[in-house]
Amino acid sequence: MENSRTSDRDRGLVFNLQRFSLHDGNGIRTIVFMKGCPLHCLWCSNPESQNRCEELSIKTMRCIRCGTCEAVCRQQAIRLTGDTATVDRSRCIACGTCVEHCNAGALSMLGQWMTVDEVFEQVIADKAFYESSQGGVTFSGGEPLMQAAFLKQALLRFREAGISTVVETCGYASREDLESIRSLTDTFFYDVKLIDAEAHKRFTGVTNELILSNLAYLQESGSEILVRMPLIPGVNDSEENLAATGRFLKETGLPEIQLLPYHSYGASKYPTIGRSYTFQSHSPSAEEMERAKAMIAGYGVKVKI
Amino acid sequence: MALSLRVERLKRDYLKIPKSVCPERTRLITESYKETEGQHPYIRRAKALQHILENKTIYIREGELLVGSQASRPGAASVFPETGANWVLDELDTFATREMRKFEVTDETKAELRQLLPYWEHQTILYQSMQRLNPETKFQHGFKYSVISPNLNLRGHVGHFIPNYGRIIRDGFQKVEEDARRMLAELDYAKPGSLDQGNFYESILIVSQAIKTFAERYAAEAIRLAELPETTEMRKAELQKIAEICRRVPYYGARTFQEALQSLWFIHLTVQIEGDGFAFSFGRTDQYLIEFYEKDVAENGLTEAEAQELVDCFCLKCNEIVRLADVPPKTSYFGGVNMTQNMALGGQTADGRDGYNMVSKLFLRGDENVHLDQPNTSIRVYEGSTDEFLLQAISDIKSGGGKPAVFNDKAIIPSLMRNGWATLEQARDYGIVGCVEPVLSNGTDGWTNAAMLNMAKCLELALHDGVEPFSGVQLGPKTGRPEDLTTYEAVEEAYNKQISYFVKQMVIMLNTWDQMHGELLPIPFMSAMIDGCLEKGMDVARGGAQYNYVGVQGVGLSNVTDSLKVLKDVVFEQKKLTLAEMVRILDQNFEGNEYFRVGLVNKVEKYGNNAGEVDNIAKRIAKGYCDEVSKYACVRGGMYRPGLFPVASHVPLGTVVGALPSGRLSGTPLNDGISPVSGCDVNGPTSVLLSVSRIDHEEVTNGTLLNMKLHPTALKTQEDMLKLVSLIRTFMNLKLMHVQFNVVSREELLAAQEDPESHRDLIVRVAGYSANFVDLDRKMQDDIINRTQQEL
Repeated sequence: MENSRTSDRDRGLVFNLQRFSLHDGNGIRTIVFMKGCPLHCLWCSNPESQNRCEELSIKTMRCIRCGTCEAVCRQQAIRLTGDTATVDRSRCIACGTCVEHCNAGALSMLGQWMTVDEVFEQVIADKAFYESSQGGVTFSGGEPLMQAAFLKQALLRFREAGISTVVETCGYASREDLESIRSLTDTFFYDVKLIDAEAHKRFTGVTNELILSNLAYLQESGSEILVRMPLIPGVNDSEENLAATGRFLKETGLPEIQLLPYHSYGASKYPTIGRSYTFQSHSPSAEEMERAKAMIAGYGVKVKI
Repeated sequence: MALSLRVERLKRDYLKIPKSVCPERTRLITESYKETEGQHPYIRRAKALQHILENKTIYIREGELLVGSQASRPGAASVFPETGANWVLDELDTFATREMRKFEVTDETKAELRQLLPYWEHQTILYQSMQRLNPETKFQHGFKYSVISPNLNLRGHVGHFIPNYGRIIRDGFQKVEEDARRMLAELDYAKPGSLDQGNFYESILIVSQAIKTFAERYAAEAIRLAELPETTEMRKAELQKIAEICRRVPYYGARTFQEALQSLWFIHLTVQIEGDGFAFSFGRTDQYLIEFYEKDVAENGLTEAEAQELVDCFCLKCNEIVRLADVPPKTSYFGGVNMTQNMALGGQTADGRDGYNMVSKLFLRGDENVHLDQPNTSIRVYEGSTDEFLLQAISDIKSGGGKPAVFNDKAIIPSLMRNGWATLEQARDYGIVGCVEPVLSNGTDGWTNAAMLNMAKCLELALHDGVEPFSGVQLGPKTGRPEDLTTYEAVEEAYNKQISYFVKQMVIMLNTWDQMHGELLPIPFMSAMIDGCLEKGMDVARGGAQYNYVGVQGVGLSNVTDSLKVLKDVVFEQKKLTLAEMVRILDQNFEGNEYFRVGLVNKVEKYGNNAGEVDNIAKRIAKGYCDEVSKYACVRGGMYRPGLFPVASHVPLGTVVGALPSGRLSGTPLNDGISPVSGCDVNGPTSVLLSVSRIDHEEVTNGTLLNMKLHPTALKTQEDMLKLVSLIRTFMNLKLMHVQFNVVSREELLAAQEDPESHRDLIVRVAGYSANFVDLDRKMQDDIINRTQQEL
């Protein structure tokens, strides 16, 4: 069965390799987006990253209504209705037959089981760009630590090849898994979303004790860390949370945080996997960013926006 | 640094002026030609220019610091009857009403031109070339769905020079005159060929005096304006200074920065009064102007702001050159294109040092400040190029408009040295002509945009046994019916035979035009500034330059590549259908076969994604074209040199090509240069650069063009700009020749909403996020578009 591979240390479930990424670490990087995340943040901009299994995606704008998918689906999970095809997710087994026959490229399978070598070959193709820019590879997701065994092997492979490694993590992982990759990771991009545990659970599905203690652990063990916080009006921009964040960083000895303005660019992706985006907020204005920056900076922490 | 109030006002006035047709030059050259009938063509051309410069209307606009204009009033385009008599008469009534590049024409102008132009009817390049062409080539030239577009130099002057402007600015025309006089005195008339030489030197003496008179007329005009009662004291002082400068340059050598710029403007302007060619290039402006800038700073305390204002005035002035565009259907490929007065900044000096200097910086800023079409700014990069230089250039790129283009010394210098063509020092001193053509400065007559050859049409003919499918006419050689092409290799061979036939036809056409330019249209003023002509005693139009060649471009490389890959995979390997069946589907423009078509687009590997086999096809197709072109010699004593860039022809050339196996629909645009087919490069810019680097750039000696689109989210911060610097450095190491970055404008994002298939390469670049722009829903796209608007 496909699912038995989930624990296979040689293969990882990857949903995208994005080259020429500019905002996820030094230089020009390729991001390996890993599929599966223990958090389900309401504002998530990569909803296709959440489930730790292959998922059928349908981009209705590309659909030419040829009806081939309906004809080839043995599960009768896909039907042509109105403008496009619709998927009955309860029937779909993600076998990929319809994807293979979808010439229009409207249907695609999110998540591909790749070996470390396959990922390495793809990423190393852009070596010339990493060299001139001090860039490298960034593992993101989803939560790459959900596939810790694979991640460890992959990081080792890149480390041996002299390629800079970044891991973007939400921090919700076992200490053991974190420890297994710590020394293979040049920089951690570590998300801190909310300091209040209750609110954290409400918005992300899990509490944050583990996240904060892992962060403190990484800091103590001398890892290079960039703390990042998506600034989401109505969720984590309260005076209280910003103050708590500043205090936490200062107490933990973390000198710097980067604020990323919330955006809703992920909303379009929800319907492609049969979900809807119900989260309501807005992109913070420059003034709102500056205000948050000043609040946190008040605790002697450097804030990048 | 923003524009000064003066330049802002000049720019505002410039933008308000409508384009119109001016008959003055036609009148003056006709008068002169009627008086010089029977004389040597060199003399006739020199006297004609003299008559124009001595009598044309001149004016100085309020606030101008640099003076000199092409026609009798701002916005006016002269008519060049020696090249245009036939087509101008044909199009006279449509200039004001056509859809693009409109020109106002008064009834008086029309009447005057109708009276003047018939004198020229049988003296044009167009008319005389057609009398001489062999029937087969004449048929190919006139055919409606022609493979070759060779008309630029048939219906206009050639242009495409990098004159030795530095020599003239430094030594003045006085030196040219002295040299010509000495050479004339030393001439042995008993020697064969000396008759032409003698006439050549005399023509140089005539134009040297003519340019002196022309500048002095501006001095007089400046004094007249200075003495008007309404002239302010401040303006009066400026006008007196202008008068002093115009009495000096370009006949005598320049001493100050302003004199150098005025000298440059006068000579650059006058070449565009002598001929109506496109792409008169400034070459390496920063290299030949720096001595004047530095001297002026040291001796006269010239400030950076003063120098910037002069440079801004200069950049604005470049936009005042107007050409009456020839836009009948067959030559419309040039319709949307500007004067392409290129200027190459930075790069290595002849002795290998970093050429980036204060003048490079002033011009990069000037280009960004003025923010108009011209000059066509380029930068040259090599290992020693500094971040400061590249960031200054990226600041200009970021402002939109695709300028400056980036050229790679690491690829171009070896290319110019191929087969012992140029020495290292000469090669290092190259400049750029037109859009992308690397040219040795000062002594080259390269005809670098002589023709376009439609490679995609050649593939179409290969799939139809040489029969042109829209007309049913046997246009190309019989290279096998689809039924007979039973292997993939046979298809490539048929394509190569078509290429071979049409390259030869193209050479026959261009050699004819070239011969006629030598006979009918010597350009003595240009010849004075092209190294080699004085030494040889020969006009540049007859081969006087040190370096002669003809540059011809292949268009549609990526369409051919992607199509061949489809045939290889789908027809010959997977055997999903026969070649004959495929051709039938193409002939019906995929009608009723949309499912099949999108499969060809989406499911077969495309060039531009760093995928092995298809990129190797591109390499082979590029090499095939280059090898074929390089076999031929031109009439001025050089070879043909291949280029792979389209100017703007990929759109009109696409209209004559039916559906292609790549899934491209009939009549849609071809790809742009060596860029992947729009929307097919789905892995982003790094993969594009790697794919393109498979093509052996050194061999494409007349230049390549690679267009890269960047979503505005990729270039927001200083950090992003530094990353683009790294991208440029990698581009350099990959030995590509040219890349041009277009920060996608609001208009293009709107276009992407309407045509997603051609815009799949637009990646939104936001931290931790992954999506293609075209896959976002409409609301989200609108949101990004609105933000883009705010941030740029």
